[in-house]
Amino acid sequence: MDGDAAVIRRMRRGDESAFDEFVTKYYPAVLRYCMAHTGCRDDAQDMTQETFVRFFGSMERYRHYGRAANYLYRIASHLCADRYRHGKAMTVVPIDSIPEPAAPHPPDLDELLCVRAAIDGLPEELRETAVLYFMQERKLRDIARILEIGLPLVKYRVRRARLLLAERLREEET
Amino acid sequence: MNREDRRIREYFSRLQESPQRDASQAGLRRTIERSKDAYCDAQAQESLSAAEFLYRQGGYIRKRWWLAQGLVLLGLWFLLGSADGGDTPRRMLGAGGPLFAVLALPELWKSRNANVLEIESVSYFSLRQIYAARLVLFGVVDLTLLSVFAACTVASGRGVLTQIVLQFLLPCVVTCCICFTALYHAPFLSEAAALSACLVWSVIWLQAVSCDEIYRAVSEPLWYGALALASAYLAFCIYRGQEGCGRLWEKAKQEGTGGCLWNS
Repeated sequence: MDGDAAVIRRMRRGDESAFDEFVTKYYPAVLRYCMAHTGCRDDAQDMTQETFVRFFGSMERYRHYGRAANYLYRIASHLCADRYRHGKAMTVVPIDSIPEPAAPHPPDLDELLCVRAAIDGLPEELRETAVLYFMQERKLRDIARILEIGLPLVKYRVRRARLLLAERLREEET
Repeated sequence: MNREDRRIREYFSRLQESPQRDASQAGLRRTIERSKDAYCDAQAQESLSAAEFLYRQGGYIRKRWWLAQGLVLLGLWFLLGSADGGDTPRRMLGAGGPLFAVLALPELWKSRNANVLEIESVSYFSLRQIYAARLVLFGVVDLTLLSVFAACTVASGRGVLTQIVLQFLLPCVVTCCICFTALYHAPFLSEAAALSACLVWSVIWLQAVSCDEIYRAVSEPLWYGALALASAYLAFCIYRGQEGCGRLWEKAKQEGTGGCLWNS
């Protein structure tokens, strides 16, 4: 029995420390995933929180087959997809309202912005797969389960995303 | 992993290493608290299925009484094996029946003895549901025990089914009638009084079956009729008792007299 199964069993028995353990374990990964989609820390935190709230709200119906992370990614994926559909991909704020940074810009800021732009430039379905494969380093089978698509389609999307990302990052380098 | 993938992952990892993208501890704590709230809210809205409710009520019943009932039947089975015939098996079954029934008394009287009726009446499930669950559980377990006992006794040749039905089941059902009448319809009777009434009945029955003249004077159909009547009364008693579950009984100590108050 994997560790998550024991933690989930403890949560169902009302052990509060199990909640702490579970959320602490998966919070950073889900936050990174949401950050990759939103590009905004506050929005990503809200979506991460919403992911866990939905997970625990439906936990009675959840059947653990060894991949709690996949289920969390699936919820986060749906939240991100809804967000894009409602046109909230990036939080736009007036430039005058942004305060001067206390610390100097990181030297690789341009590169980070290029990567960000490259991700955002991908079609939605490819972006989703790219984030899960390249950033979250999930296995192809896990990605198939999270996105509820077939393995061949996952492989196709990874190939396409790799091509497009490589092309765009090469353009930025030159 | 090919070179292209490694390059892309390196770019992605730089995105993640950016110092402004640390997991916020405050966000984490907020998420943990909201997660617990979400789980509790979902739990509060979930209602138990009938099977889950029965399972949980079964957890509150002390299994020692079922064990004792099982041991009574086991002992009876062994004794029947060593009986030398005549009216000995009749007496054994006649004694075993009421004993089997009174072993359910402690669990059925538990709520009244511990004065928890008031608490149970304000629980999420109604008193009627709780008591119905207990009766169903007792009924199922006792029926199972009796079926196994009857099957083993008949299969091993230690008795016949008609003998078990008339000599064991009839006094058992009458004992149950006394118990439930006392429990539901005679609040002034304590558990000890109910037990005494059952013992008196047991003695009367043993006297009746031990006396051949009396026993043979009553034909078999009449015995079956008595069993049917007792069973019907038992069902009626339980039904009326369940209907009246909403009443709370309080014992008020009045000076030197004692008394009962009925709140309806």
